[in-house]
Amino acid sequence: MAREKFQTLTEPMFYILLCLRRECCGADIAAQVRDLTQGRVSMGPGTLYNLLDSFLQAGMIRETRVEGRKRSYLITDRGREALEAEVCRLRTLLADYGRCPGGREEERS
Amino acid sequence: MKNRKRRFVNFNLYDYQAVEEHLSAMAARGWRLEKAGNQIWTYRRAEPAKVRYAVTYSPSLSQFDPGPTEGQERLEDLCAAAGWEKVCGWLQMQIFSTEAENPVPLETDEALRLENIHRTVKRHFYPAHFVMLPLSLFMLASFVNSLIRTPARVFGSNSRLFSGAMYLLLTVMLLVNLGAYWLWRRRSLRSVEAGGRCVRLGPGYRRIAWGTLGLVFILAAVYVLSSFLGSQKIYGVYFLVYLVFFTLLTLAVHGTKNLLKRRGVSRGKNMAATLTVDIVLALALVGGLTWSAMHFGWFTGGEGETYTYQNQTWDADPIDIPLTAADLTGQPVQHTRRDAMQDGTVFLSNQQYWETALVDGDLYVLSYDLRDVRAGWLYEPLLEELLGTEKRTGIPLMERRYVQEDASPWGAEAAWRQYWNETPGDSWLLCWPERIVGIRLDSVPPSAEEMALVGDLLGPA
Repeated sequence: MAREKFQTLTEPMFYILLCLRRECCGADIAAQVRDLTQGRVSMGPGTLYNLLDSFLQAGMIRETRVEGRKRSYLITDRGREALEAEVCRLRTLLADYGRCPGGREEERS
Repeated sequence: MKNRKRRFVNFNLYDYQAVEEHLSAMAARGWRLEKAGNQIWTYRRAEPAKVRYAVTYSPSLSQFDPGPTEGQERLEDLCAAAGWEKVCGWLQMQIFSTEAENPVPLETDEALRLENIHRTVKRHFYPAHFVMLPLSLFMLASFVNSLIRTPARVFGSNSRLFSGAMYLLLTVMLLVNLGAYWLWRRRSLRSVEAGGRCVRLGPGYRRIAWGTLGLVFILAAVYVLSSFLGSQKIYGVYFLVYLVFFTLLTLAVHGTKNLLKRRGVSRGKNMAATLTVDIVLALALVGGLTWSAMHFGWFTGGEGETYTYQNQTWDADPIDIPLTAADLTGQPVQHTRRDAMQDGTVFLSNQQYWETALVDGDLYVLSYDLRDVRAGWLYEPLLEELLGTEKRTGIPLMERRYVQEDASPWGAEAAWRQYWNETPGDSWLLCWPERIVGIRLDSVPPSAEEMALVGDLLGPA
């Protein structure tokens, strides 16, 4: 069954929202994501454009400034909620991982 | 040395890998894409180089948008920052290139790419297919129905056979397109869910696509050639004139759209204006050609010089026909008008003749058709079709049927006379081994001399 849009975030979605907690122009997001993940996640411009467009339409980010063709964005409350929900989900996963019998902690003891 | 060349392309909107590979191969041979029309792409000469091409999709983009839109500008800026240069757009596909060694891929999220392609297909690929498919199926069903009910009529007309083959190819192509996309999406979804990439569109599909297109051109060429080589040159001319007009119409429609785009006219206004131009020109094309064909008698041998006598139009220089009113009456004809129409295929030829004459102050009307059966297997179905009953609703109900008569006075092998209910009519069907003649006489019953003359002049030599 298809996953409801933005119910969980993919890596690129997660990092775009993460970067946009501070106002940032589109072209700088890819560089920030690369630095933040030490090159582990690369963000293609096509992917970035489509995700920014989807986030704008979903009201998860907003345009803050337009200088010539340069546009800056900032996360909205809705976007922040989605980001927090994703973090919460990841923490739950980690907690479940730790509690699950058969893990490395148990093997060592 | 030519610095530009144009090439006919047959890519599918979602077949992005084929587009990327094709463009890289062309660049390696020294040709860079400059402009992508719907089917004709233009390349400019450049130094052969290793150029990487990549595409992304803008589903919300319309070909009527005055460009570049704000969204396109944002995309181009993001790509430029990543080292990708905009080449051009093709439908909703945005094409970029880079000569960098290890560029960041244009798309790094395959699920998103697949979703975008599907949105594009839903908006721009499905609608045309879902409109065309019922139409082509209806036309094909109508052709198959004619083929079953009146096989001789279909096999006797190049135009009918050609249009039937075109409907069949169109239906096959539409179904193959839809089926291929459905399969491609299903496989791509599986692959992406497993962490892979969108799958490649199989070579089988491309072979079918090019094969179908090739078949269309071959059939069109055969149709035109057979028209010119046979006795129906005018059908070939009509087809070619239609093709030229259609090309001009397409150019005019695209020209209007592009002109309005350049002038910054909004998407809605551009669509309305282009559609209006399209409809008006299409009506003018079809109407103009039909009017010309009828007015100038393209299919009946032309009107020629005429004159008026007793409020009727007569031919100044009547065409020659195999059997005339003068032959049958044995009297000089003062005024006459004649028409002839010929059609035929490698299976069957059909010649129709009409004459209206003024003989001794009275009107004399004669019409007949000669059907030469070239394919033996068609003889029986043709005879069956011609002998078939016909009912005319009204009071009283009229039923046409044929009753076999003695054929020897006609010099034929078999003869049937037409009856309306129990009343003998004025038409006969005369059969020889490879020819069937249908004739409608002015005065009935014909004399033995008239019957012998008909058999002599209209029977096989």
